[in-house]
Parts: sequence; C-alpha cells; structure tokens
Amino acid sequence: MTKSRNQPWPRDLVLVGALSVLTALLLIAVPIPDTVLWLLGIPFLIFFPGYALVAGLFPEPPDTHPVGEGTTPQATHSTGPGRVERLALTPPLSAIVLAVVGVILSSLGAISLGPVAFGVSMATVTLVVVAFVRRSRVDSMASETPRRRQNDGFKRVYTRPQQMAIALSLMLMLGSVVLVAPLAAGGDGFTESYVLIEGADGPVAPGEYTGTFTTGQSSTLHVGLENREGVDQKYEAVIEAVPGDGGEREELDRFEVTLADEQGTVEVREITPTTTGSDVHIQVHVYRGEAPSTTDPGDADLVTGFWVTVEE
Amino acid sequence: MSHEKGLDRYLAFEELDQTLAKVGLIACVLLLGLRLFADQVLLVIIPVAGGAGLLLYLHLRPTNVQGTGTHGTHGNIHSPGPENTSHELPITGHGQQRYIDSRGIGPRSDTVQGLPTLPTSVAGYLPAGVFAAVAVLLLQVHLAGSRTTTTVLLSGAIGSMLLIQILFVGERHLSPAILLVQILLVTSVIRLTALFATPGFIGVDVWSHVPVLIQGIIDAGSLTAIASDKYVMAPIYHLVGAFGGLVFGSARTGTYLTLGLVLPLATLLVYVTSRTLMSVRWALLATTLFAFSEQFIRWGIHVIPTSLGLVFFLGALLSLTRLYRTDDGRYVVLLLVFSLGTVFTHQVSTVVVLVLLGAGAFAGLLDRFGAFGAVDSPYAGHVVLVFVFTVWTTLISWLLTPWSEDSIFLWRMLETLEAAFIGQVGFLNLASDAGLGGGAAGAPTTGYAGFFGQLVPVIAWLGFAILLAAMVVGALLLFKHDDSPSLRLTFILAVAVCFIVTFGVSLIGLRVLLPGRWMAFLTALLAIIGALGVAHIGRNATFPVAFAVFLTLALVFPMAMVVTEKATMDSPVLEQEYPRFAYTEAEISAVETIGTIQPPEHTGELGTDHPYQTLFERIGGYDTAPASIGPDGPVTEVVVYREYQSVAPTMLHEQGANETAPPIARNSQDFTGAEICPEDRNHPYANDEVTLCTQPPSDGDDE
Repeated sequence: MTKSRNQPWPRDLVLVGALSVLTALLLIAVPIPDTVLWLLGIPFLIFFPGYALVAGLFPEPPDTHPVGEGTTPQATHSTGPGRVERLALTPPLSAIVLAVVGVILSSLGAISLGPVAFGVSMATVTLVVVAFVRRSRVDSMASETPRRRQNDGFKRVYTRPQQMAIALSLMLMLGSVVLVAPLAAGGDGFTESYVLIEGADGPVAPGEYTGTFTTGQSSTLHVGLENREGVDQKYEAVIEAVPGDGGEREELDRFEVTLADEQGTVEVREITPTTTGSDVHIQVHVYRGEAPSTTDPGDADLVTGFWVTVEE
Repeated sequence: MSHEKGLDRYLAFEELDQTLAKVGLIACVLLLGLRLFADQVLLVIIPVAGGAGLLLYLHLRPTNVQGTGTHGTHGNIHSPGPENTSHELPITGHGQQRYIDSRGIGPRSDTVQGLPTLPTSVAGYLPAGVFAAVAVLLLQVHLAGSRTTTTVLLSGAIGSMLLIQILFVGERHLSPAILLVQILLVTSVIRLTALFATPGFIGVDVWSHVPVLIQGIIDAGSLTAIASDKYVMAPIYHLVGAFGGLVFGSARTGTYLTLGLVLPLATLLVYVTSRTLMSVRWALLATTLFAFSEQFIRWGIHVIPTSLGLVFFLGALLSLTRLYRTDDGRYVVLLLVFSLGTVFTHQVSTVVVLVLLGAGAFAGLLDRFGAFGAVDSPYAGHVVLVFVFTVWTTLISWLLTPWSEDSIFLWRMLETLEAAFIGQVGFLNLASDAGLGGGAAGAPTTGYAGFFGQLVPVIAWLGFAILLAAMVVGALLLFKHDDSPSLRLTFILAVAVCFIVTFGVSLIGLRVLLPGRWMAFLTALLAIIGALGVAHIGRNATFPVAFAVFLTLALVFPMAMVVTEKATMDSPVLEQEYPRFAYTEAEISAVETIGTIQPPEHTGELGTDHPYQTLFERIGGYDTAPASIGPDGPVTEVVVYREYQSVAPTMLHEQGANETAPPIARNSQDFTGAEICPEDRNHPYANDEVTLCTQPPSDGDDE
C-alpha cells in the first residue's frame, strides 16, 4: 500500500467513522439534550453513511476541476467527481443505506433504537473501511495531483466589509434558527368539552342514547373537559334544561374545576330535571373562569348539549 | 442553386430547430383554438407560453452556439472578442476521459456581454441581505405562529435576491460556493420552518404515512406493521422515517429531520447535473429555478414517498447525465442504485424514472446502432441493461405488492388503466386544474370577484409559463447542437413524454396516471433545459429582449411560484381561492377526542368539509364524505362543523329537494354555521373551533 505524502484526506473517513460510532453510543447509552441530538443525529442518519458510500465508490481525490467550484484555464487530467457532487450524492445514498439496514433489522423484528443505532454505525464503519481500502489502491499520481487554488474564493469575490456583513448575517440567521427551533408550533390555546349520558352499559354519546329522563329521578352525565390553553385554567360549568318550546331555563347543576395545561377530567354529575317535554335541551355551558349567576348560552365559552325526552 | 419551393424552404430539414419552431407555432395557434370548446386555463397558458418561447427562439439568430465567443449579429449588441471567463473549461484535446468536457452542450461561458450588472458595492451585500431576510422570516413566523402572506412574499423576495446575484452580477463576482450555500440554507430553512410551525402535518397523504405507517413500524419493530399496505414493497421512505423517529423521539420530528432535509439538499443534484451541461452561471440559474418552483416547494412541505421518489429521480438524472458525458462506468452503478431506490420507494415515481431510463435507453440503442455516426458513449448499452433490469424489478415488485385482501397491485393498476380508458377518456374531457394537483380536488370556489378573480388562474400558472417558455428555447437549442446526441435525445424525449403525460393525457381526461404527481419531475427537466434557453437568450438576443427576460425571471418568477396553491398548502395566500391543507391544534385534537366519544364503529358515515374529512379518515378511521346539507338541515347524520368552513372555500355538498338526485359540490361559505350544525341537533362535543353534531334518536325509542 502506497500512501502519498500529499494524501491527508483519509482523516475524513476516520472522522466519519468515529463520529458515527460515538453518536450510536450516545444514542444508546445516555439521554442527550435535544440540541446535541439534532446536531449529531442529522449527520448520523443522512450524511455519514452516504459519505462513506460515495468515498468508497469514488476513492480518488475530488476532481481538480471539480464541478461548481471554479477552475483555472490550466488543466490536468481529471479524476473523480468534485466536492459538490459528492455532497449532492451523500443524502440520497444515505437513505439507501438506511433502507438496507432497515430491511435487515426488520427481518429480525429489531427496529428499535439500539439495533438501529448499532446497525447504522456498523454500516457506516464498514463502508468507511471499504473506502479506506479503495483509497489506498488509488494511483499515487492522481493522489499527488496538486490542488489548484480556487479562483472564485470568498476573499477574492467580496471585499472585507462585505465579508463581515455576510458573516454577521449568517450568524444572525443561525441564531434565529437556534432561537426558534426548540419552540413548538404556534397557535391559539383551546379547551375541549364533551358530554356523555350514562346508559345501561356505561356512558354513551347522546346520539346513541335512546332512553328518556324522568322527573324526580336523577340521570347521570359524564362531562369531559380538557385544558389545552397553555396555562393553568379554572373552569365553571353550568348544566341547564331548556324546554324546546322556549320556556324558562332550569339550572340543574353547577361545578368548578381547575386544570393544568394539557390536563383533562371527566366529571360525573347527577341531574334531576323537573322540566318536562318531548324535546328538552340539556345544555352544558362552560366558562373560563367564573360563570355568571344567570347564564346565557351566547356568553358561554363552550356549549355542548343534547335533546332528550323528560317524562313525569 | 435551384429555387426551393416555398414550403420546403420554410420547413428546411437542415435547420431542424427552425423548422420545429415554425411547426410548433402552428400547433400553438391550433391549441389556442381549443379554448373555444373547453374552459381550461391551460389551453391558454401552454400555447401562449410555448408560442412566446418559439417566437423568441426564431427572433434569435445565433451563428455559433458552440464557439469560443459570440459573434455580432444583426440587432445584437454583443461584440466579438476573447471570452474571459474563469469558468471557461479548457479543451484538453485528448478526450480519453471527457469528465469535464469542454464541448459543453450549453453555453460554456458565463459572459453575458452588454447586459447591465450590479455595481460590486451593491452585489457584494446581497448574500448578507439573503441571510438577514431569512432571519427575519424565521422570527416573523415565530411571532405569528405560522406562515403568513408576509412570510410567503418574503420567500419570494429572497428568491429574487438569489436570481439577481446570478443574472446581474459580473462574472468576476459570481461565487458559486456562496450562492450554493445560500440556496441550500434558504431552501432548507424555509421548508423546515413551514413544517415545524404547522401543527401536525401539511397535506393529506402524510397523515397516513407518518402517524400510521411509520409509527406502526416503530411500534411493531418491523415492516409487518405495513404488511397489508402497498408500501411494504416500497418501504424506503418509511424505514428512513422510522429510523428518524427512533433517533429523535417522534415520528414527526424524525421524518422532518431526515426526509425533510434530504429533499432541499437535492437541489445540489440539479446543480451538478446542470453543471455537466453548462457553465456555472446557468447551472446556478437552473438550480434556483428548480429550488423556487411550486412543485419542489410542495414536496418539501408535503413530505411523502413522492418527495423521496423525486430525490431518487434527480439522482438518476444526474447519473445518466454524467454517464453520457464522462464515460465513467461507475455512474452505471449509481444509475442502477437510484433507479431501484425509486422502485422501492414510490410507484408513480417509478414510472417517471422508467420514462427517463427509457428515453436514455432508446438514445443508447440508437447510439449502439450507429444512428449518430460515431459511437457517442461506450456505456449506451449499459443504460439499456439498467432500463431492462429496472422494468423487470418493477414488475416483480408490483406482482408482490398487496393492494387489498384479494388483489395485487399490478393487476389492480392494469384494471384501473383499462377502466380509465373506457370511462374517462374523451377528447376535451378535461381534468380540472385541481386534478393536476394529483391530490384531492378542491371545492368550487366563490374566489375573488372582478378583475382580480380573472387574474387568479393566471397568477397560479404564471411561474410555470415562464419556465415553459424558457424550456422551449432550450429544447430547440438541443436540436441545434450536434454534440452528445445520446444525452440531448434523452433530455428531449424525457421532457416530451413527461409533458405529454402531465398535460396531454389530461386533455383527454385520463387521470389515472396522477398527472399532478409528474409535475415535480417535469419541473426539474424544465428548469435545466430552461436555463439553457435563458443562456441562449442572454448571448444572442437584443439588449431589450434579454434584459426583459432576465428581469422577468429575477423579479416575477420566484414570487409567482411561492404564492401558488401547492406552495402554500399550509397557509394559502389566495385564501378565498384555495383551502389550507393544514390544521390547527384544536382541529386535530377534535379528531382524536371525537374518536373516543363517537367511535367510528358506532358511526355510519361522518360528514364534514373537504379536506377536513381526510383527517377523520386517515387518523380517525371513519368512513367520511363531504357533509350533505339539505333545505331542512344536514342530511348526513353525524356532522362536524369547524369555524374554518365559514371563512374559507372548503367543500360541502348541497342536497336538493329531490333526494334521489346526486348532491352538488358547494363552497362551505355558502352555508351558515347554523345550517351545517343546527341547534336542533345534539352537540356532544365542542372546542373553540370545532363542534360535533349528531342526530337525536327518534322519539319513543326505548333504552
């Protein structure tokens, strides 16, 4: 094996292999903060495997007249794809490698974090080894081809103030990413409310309840509330019976509950309506905070309800 | 010299490009005439844009499309002189390895003489402007809680800044590295911002792929979770998403940070492909045109197997291009890998890749049989083999792909095709514009009134029209060249077939091939060939024409693309024309909670608006349909009302007095909330945005 004295580039393979193994170990062994997880996990999955595969497929150094990196009129014979092309090929080929590992793990019923981390890192390391072996067999003449200075370099194209502006704005952009990334999707908070009726076989939706209520006899309602406001919230619910012919409203029950964010409850309430009729509207008015002493459905934050026959 | 007859001279075969342009003009006029018989905006857009490209090409009279410099022609202010470009590629003269071939198909020089360039004192700050604008965009989205019209317009402005750097910057100050960094960061950040700022997911199908299929694989630990689904034989997308879900702790985050990143990074594939054909400026142009195209944005925010299929298609296109241009046999391996990758990712993408391979194989066969004179590529035969092997693999895969309990995918597709040819096909049995979207169709909209309302379809297709016109110029240029015939024929055939499938078969009502899904693949070809066309215009057109074209590209194209329906699925700019295909937390939560109190097994059919019904279907497991509203209230027994129905053009059905007549699709804004969910119904569930309405039981029923 002839190692060119101008061949510093195997360090990239060592770095890829080492980072891949390190990431796998971290994933398996210790809880990682989200920021670190993103910084390591993204290249672990969509860069390292593909990079190693590209390096193995094209073991020669990046082309001295690489695509997209500018050239000088002076030419040597070209070798492999340039850095840009290698970078372009890396993510889709990583997906291919992941899929191959996935099919193998699936056949073992082993698609879980540990085997995945191990499998991906081992696949990457294997490809790294292949790449290293193939690189070592690359014609030394090609590997000794002197690198041309890029003639479209950052410093040549942009003045110093422009370079500073670009660097600062890039930092600003990356800072915005760091600031915004951990935050969840925005949107308004909300509350959920629902009502079920206790039937012979447990609580059922009102549409499935085929019974009737009887005055003087209690009926059981299950009133569900879920707080998704983003903060702790106190609620007061008022249950009323309203005759279908527009008669007087009858308050049947009133209760308060305080819920933490993303907390829910199901309040089991007994009601005993005295309002009779074939179309009695049982309404549950939910208020954020305190309910007024005299309710109006238009004022409630949420209204659920159902129609039922109340017999004497 | 004998006189030729008029028609012979007019349609000289020796000048095939000119002849085709003239024939094309006639075809455009005829196509425009079809507009008299059918109300389809594309019957105007395509002939007008195509005709503009053809006229532009005929206006240009290049005397040398391969030479080392431009020659002054009539009306052309270009002056002859030595090309002084740092991106000029040398003629090696040996040709034993034409890896970077100086005999490029496209313009080899970045020089666009005569056109104004920005002062370096201004141009040099544009990258900073781009990064700063992206930072502002991020903060704006964070403060607003979602993408807004401001966000979208800012995206368009960023696109313009990129194109200005490409088109109006002197050659010495054209930095491909900085531009590529900008393009990659902008495309990644804009897409990921949309994804993470939106609760749940954007789109329709993704609600099956991620929370159901990918999560199912994670839960089961193997592909048995999707054993009955067609994707068991096309699992790459789902495996990558599952790996991401395991690493990042959630299927959604994992999908976004793997597949959601792979797609914007695929712009580099377009760049490398283009760079093989043309010099840096035009390759960057092709890349930016594609990066800001409606379709590429669409599949970057609606991250489903089509997205990954598009990536593999771009990989196959790069491999084929490099293979024919560099004669490096290793690209045969890459071509095979990407082709098979597509087969095991997405069925529609597979067909598109087969079209590409078929075009390449056909060109390769012609090459092998000496149709181009000397053999163009020693690997032409290998392309044929890759095509044949991919076809064979596809057939085997589709034979093993389950469709339903008693059917397999291949037979089902053949039956569907047969039924489509019988039932759908008919001249001018046109698909609607929504059908070209490839997803669920939208509602008849009230839209916008007056002049603006008439402009809406033009706005929707303006970016595509610009791209089409440029592509026409570039495609004719491919006929003009005599270099790399295999590759030129491949591109011409591929774009022609894709165009015909996307638009031509829609003209006869054949929608079974999901023409809307082909648009993204077609757009990649349009961008690459279109960049060739723009370069040709820049080098050969008169100053006013070239300047107008460049300015239109820089200022109009990005904005026209980013405001379209498919690029703003999560937050439509034209919100009275298109509903959003994203949901609020309240709307998503309603599906989950309603599923517990009114389970699907106790619910016959659940009605709500389209597209909201798809959410109940995909994650709720309901049988759904657009709610049908009659003169006396909802006909559907179980209806879900959401406030969005009252402010946006979602779709409901109107049932007339005649109950046997089929319901009519209507805009939900045509109904009030009280009509959709009246007081005389049970309202067992409500949150701040969504109400469930069910029919009370009949009187007299006993418990």
